[in-house]
Amino acid sequence: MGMPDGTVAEVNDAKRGDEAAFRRLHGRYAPMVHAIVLARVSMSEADDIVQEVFVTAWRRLAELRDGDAFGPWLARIARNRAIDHLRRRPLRIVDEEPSVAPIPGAEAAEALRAIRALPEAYRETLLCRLVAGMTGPEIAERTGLTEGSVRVNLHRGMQLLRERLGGDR
Amino acid sequence: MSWAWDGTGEPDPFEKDLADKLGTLRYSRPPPRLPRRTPSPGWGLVALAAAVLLAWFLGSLRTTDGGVPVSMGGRSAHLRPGEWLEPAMDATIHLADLGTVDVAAGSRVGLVDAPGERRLSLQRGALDARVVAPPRLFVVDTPSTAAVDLGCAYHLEVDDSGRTTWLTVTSGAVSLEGHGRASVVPAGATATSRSGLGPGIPRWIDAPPDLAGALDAFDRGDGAVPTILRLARPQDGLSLWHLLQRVGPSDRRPIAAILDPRAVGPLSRLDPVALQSSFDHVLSEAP
Repeated sequence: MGMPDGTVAEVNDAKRGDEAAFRRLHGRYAPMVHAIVLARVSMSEADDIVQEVFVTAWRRLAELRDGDAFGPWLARIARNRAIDHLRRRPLRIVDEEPSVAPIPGAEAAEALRAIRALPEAYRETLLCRLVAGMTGPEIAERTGLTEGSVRVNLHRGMQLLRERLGGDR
Repeated sequence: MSWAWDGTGEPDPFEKDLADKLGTLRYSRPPPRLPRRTPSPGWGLVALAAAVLLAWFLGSLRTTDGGVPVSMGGRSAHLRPGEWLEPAMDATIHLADLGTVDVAAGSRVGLVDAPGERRLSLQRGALDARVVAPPRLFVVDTPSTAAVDLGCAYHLEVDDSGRTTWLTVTSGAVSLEGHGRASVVPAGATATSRSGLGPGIPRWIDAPPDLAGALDAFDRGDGAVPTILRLARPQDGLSLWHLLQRVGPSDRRPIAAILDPRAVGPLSRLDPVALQSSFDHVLSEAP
């Protein structure tokens, strides 16, 4: 698995305290982190959690031995942070967007609800593709999934969305 | 699936519309203010110690009752034959030397008492299995089929009614069995099983929607062989190989002619050697 050009060098620079290098990593990986977090928490809460993920990553960067593994390592932090956030919330049976949260568009909210009702394996991949705008190879490269798994997740996930949102086959 | 994969080619209208709507949610905040770093208290060592403890705990769980360890969110449990797992979060069933099964939150999975094999029952929801055992030692039952592991990794899903099961294989192969038929699903392929009908015809995951629809119609008893043959691409031998064995003798020749023009006779007679040779060739067509 190879990281995009520059990532390994930027990780090494950031480990030495180079904040500009870390900000470049943020620019490249924040959409992925946001998609992973958005697969689990509401839109209104996701942005703050993304910020917390990067603060955590900055603090713990010295633990990352292999710069090549930055993406999957960051993805794990994002998932764990989102799960921790959910654990602190009261148990809910239906995960609905809070009515006071700003909703960019009713259609986007409906599509997001449909994706979050899908099995977990499909949610992250679909959100990386559809919200973050990442391609299949980029999703595999940055999350550590194999291209085969990403391809399956995209195909099956789109198929389920088509059935549930009433798209034509 | 080209556009959905890498943005090239003509976009599917539904997928493009989804991307346009959801793209409005793209993250755009600037990076956070970064704190001063303080010396780490050795979180790596703490995590390692926790992992060692968990591994010891899972390994030390007695399985003389035929049960298996389950981990979920850092906690552990023990699933015994006859019991059901309905996790509120994603969970993992550890099958000792057979492999692992990740169970999606909200699913219902039971451990079946089956001497000589490991058998789960998936009533609803989804699981991902990564099995390293010899073939046919691990089986997952669903309401409409049995997924027999042939050494592989796969995703299995059952809808809330239990009437439909979807299987997608990412490595190795799985045999879906029931109602007197079997569908061999290799890596890169998917198949659906329906209550009352059993396993459907597998297809590659990049099969065109109209071909998939024609195969689904055939599985339900509505479809026409000529339609499938017209829509099948040269690389769709996997579907045709299964179709060959599900039609009457009079319908086999045109299918056999596409699979292997040099072996029309033996394939039409469902000769085992010809079928095996044809399937070996089919596997080379995986996307």
